[in-house]
Amino acid sequence: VGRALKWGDADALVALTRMTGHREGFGDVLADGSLRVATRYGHPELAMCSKGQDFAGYDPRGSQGMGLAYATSPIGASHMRGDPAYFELLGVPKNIDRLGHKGKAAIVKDWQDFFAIIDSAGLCVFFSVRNLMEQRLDCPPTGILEYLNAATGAGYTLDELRKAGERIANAERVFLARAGFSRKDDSLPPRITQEPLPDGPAKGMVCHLDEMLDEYYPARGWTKDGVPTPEKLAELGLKP
Amino acid sequence: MRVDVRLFSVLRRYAPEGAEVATLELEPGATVGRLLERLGVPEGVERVVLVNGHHGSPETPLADGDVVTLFPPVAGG
Repeated sequence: VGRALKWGDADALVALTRMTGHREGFGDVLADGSLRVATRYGHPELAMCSKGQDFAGYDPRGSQGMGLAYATSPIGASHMRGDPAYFELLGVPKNIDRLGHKGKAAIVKDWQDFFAIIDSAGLCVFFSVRNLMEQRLDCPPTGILEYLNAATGAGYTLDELRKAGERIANAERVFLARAGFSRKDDSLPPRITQEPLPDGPAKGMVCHLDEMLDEYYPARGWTKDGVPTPEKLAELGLKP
Repeated sequence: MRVDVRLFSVLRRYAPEGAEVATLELEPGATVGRLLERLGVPEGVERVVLVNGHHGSPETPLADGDVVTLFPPVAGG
């Protein structure tokens, strides 16, 4: 863009956005995405990604459950596969300490299963979280159940619907496991797990991902390497 | 004591003279609840309250120089 790039240079940001879209000049490099750019310059660890997908708008050092959700989402660091920002940052359905990591795993699992139900029902996350779940941390999808039964007459029970969400999460995981993914891929960059935040209300924090994974896999009924067990798959009616 | 208030999005309507950042004079020992009352934010209005970047509730006591941030609970996706 004709000058050195500095943090906070809004004009350069706008210019680079255009250049990236048109693959012009340095924009041609940026258009490959942050992981490929960082790898090209010898520092893949500097890309703020999980499974090659860039973070959504949250630094997991200040939102521990978000770190676990980023790392275990099948599509990489997305907040659209169970969004802990709701209970860690927005207080929906109630506020949970965003800097704590103990006990987050079970909550994240329930939200991931809930988001799988929302997506599969073709509904909007925003509306569903506020209006189609019981306002409890384990997010029972009572409103979606009512919609589905009214539309299909299928007479699903709440338990069946929740199992469907869990089945989706497990089917995705089986797919990934067969493609060679395991605990080693449920990762966050070292900046997030090793470098304490330098300032702000979460000053001094890192993301306690390993501790949360140790709680998460048992909560899922997966092995300590993050692979669904035959027992869990049988319980959900999936073939190993 | 003086407290800085930052209001965002639809809550901007409760800002004194519509300012994004306003400084309010409050009596010593005032709480977040008292501040909301002063701003005229009705009880039922959905909002996230941060005091110096940490979650606050109506009972949170305020101190001179605190920065209180108010925004509606919306997520992006």
